Amino acid sequence: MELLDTTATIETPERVSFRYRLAGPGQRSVAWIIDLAFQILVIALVVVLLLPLGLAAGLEGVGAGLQYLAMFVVQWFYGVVFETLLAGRTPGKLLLDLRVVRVDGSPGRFPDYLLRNLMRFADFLPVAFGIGVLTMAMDPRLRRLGDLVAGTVVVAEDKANMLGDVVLEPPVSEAERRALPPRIELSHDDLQVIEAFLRRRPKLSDDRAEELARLLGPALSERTGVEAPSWERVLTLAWARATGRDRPVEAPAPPPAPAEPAPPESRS
Amino acid sequence: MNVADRDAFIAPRSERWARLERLLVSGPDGAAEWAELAAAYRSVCADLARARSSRLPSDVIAFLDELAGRAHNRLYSVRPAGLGLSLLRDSIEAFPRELRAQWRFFLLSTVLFYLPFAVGTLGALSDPSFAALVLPEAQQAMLEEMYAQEDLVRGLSGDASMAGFYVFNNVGIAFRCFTTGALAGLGSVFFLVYNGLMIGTIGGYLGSVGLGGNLLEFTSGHSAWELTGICVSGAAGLRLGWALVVTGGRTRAGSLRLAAPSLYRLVLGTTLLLLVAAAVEGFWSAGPAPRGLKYAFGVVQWGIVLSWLALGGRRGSL
Amino acid sequence: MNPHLCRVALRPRGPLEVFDLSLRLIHAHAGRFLRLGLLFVLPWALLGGAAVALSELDVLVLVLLPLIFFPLQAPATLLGGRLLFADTVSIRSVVYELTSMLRPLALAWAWQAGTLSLGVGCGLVPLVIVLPVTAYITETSLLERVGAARSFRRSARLAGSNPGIALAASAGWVALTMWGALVAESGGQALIGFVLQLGQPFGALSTGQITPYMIFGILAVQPIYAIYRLLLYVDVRTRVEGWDLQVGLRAAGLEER
Repeated sequence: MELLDTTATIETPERVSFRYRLAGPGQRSVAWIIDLAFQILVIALVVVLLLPLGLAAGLEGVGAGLQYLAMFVVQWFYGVVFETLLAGRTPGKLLLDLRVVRVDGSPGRFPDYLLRNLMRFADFLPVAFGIGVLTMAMDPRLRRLGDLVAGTVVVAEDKANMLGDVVLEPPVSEAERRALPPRIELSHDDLQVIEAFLRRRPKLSDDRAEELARLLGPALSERTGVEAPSWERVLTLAWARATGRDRPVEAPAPPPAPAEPAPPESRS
Repeated sequence: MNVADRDAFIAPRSERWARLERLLVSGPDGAAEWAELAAAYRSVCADLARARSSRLPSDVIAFLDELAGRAHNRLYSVRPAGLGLSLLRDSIEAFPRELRAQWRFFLLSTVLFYLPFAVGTLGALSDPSFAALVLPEAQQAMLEEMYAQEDLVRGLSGDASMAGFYVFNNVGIAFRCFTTGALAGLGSVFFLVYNGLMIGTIGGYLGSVGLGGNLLEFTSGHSAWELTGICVSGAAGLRLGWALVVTGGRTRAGSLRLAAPSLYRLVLGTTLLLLVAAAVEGFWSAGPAPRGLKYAFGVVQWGIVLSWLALGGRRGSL
Repeated sequence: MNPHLCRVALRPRGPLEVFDLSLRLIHAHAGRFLRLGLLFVLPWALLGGAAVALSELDVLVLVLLPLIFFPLQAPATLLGGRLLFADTVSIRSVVYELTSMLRPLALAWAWQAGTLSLGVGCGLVPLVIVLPVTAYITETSLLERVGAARSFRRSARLAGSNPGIALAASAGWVALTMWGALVAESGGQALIGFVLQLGQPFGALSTGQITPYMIFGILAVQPIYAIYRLLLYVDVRTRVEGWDLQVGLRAAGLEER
């Protein structure tokens, strides 16, 4: 069963599928407000810089004309220009890690950016993106009219860090290891959920952790024969044995020099 | 999934991943690094497929998913070279071809524009009270004052200023006319009829108060570009509304998607037409040239526009 | 139907992403939310609209309006809460459940109203603190089924453990309500005044009047906001209490048996 989520799977021409986080009105409205502030700033700068220039040259007409031109360009082409230059991002989108891509995951091109940005006028109607938000709410990929016409979708790019290996606290002692049944089979779902539990354990209070462990612990203990003073320990030991983490591992080869933002950490 | 699997998967690959990370952060430089990026991207894709099929822990998959996604975007986000050239070709050659292919929409929008235009002109010419229905009194006075001046240009603050204003105003109107086609075409119909009626009534009104000659002199140069530009934007809007309403069995999104290349070319054409119109309007129309020359210039402009739309982009022409 | 399997992908999200998710949840059950809206929002919207259209009591209506936000949000909260764990929920059962919980609901609402008016009484700054504290009181009293005082404490604790999200719940309400009022006002004026050419029979916001469109917009976004806040509540519980783990472990435990 497909869980309700704000993601979409995109298959690239290389037949690789990525899962993208989609961006809807929540994230995009903030990006738009930033862009709006930026647009106002640009127009204000043009006014402040060009008006004295025109006056000084005795050509007040030129200054006013350029102001209109600047307003026109900023109003209609701000999005097109930045999305073309920054590969699908405006300054606002850049700050929120959003990007415009085509629905098949390939990068947008100039025609796409032009259409989706011109269509913003229709999306904005009657005011404050009324039609756009309604369209986004009705589209499974959270696209506004402009996106539908241009065949684009706005995605959120998060820089997921690979987590280190699970730290067992405390590690499995020699006595515990000997008491464990020789073989424990756990289903894929069980392994996933216990691993998630162990990873989040430091953020949970002791009482809450035990409360959570009690949901699975008794049934697991009964089936596998793992005994321990607390349900949390039952989960820990069963998981450790099933994944071969109950033995002290010989120190692994030192990890490669860590990359800048997100090195795949090795266990300490 | 066990510890050995995980380590056996990560250990031989982590150095390559770290290298790819560094490439993505610093941005590849030079052909060799781009080639390396492409190769690293392909191998990460393979790693991802492998990790998925052997059900490695979700954090490894999430990491690879994200790394491959970023590499993919970096790799394909290279701007195609010669955007300016293709823009020019699309708007000069592909646009008239497209307009002829979409002649039904162009015909409809032309009728929707010129019919109210004619009604406004004839109505205002024959009955003085007609103009009052369409134009507010203040605007009538303003128009009279503007066109009553012998020497039009002196009443305006300057050529460049007016060109800027015409671009801001007129191209904006055309873009709105196109984009509101998304309301099942109704927005475009409104903008076409409204503008047709307004412009026609202004013409008729000025004619009825004896200023028709001044108006004709002023507008003759750019009218070919501007009026045609409005009709083209209307055609694009109607095409858009049509794609939204008559999907031909496709999803609405699919139908829109199919219309997009056509819309793009029509929009480019509109933009080009109106930019030329604004330049002519700003720098020529109110200029000091004698009236006869302006009329002749206007006739030539209409000839240019119509033959471009009729012949542009045909093999062997232009 | 497995009551322990959550239908929404649980993971820590930000407040902005949660809003997008709430649109997806409403979209997935659009028919149900529409019916709920017709049942609960429309009568109030008609009543409020008629009141501002026919009387001179505009300001009074606007002052009284917040009193019905809570009863408008509660049915949506309940429906959304049940849809987290079920594919189909009948509106009838939601209404039935709601009537069976009128007492705790009224108490929780009294707590919230009391706290808020205390906040207003103390000036604006305490309101910023007080509003988030009661942010999740509808959720705690409706979905955790505990007494009014207890649900107030729960709400305060959840808000305290992640004040940022609780603040987002309040800011989201302000933003969404203002957006709803603006869009409905502008859309209504466009429809009546521009398309149908009927002028401005109810006045306009731009001339300082309160219009039925605006009342409708303000009320119509309340259920949407309720879903948003429900999912914020889920987000907070996921972060603080490991709610996703609870759902996953319980499902795994049932599987083992």
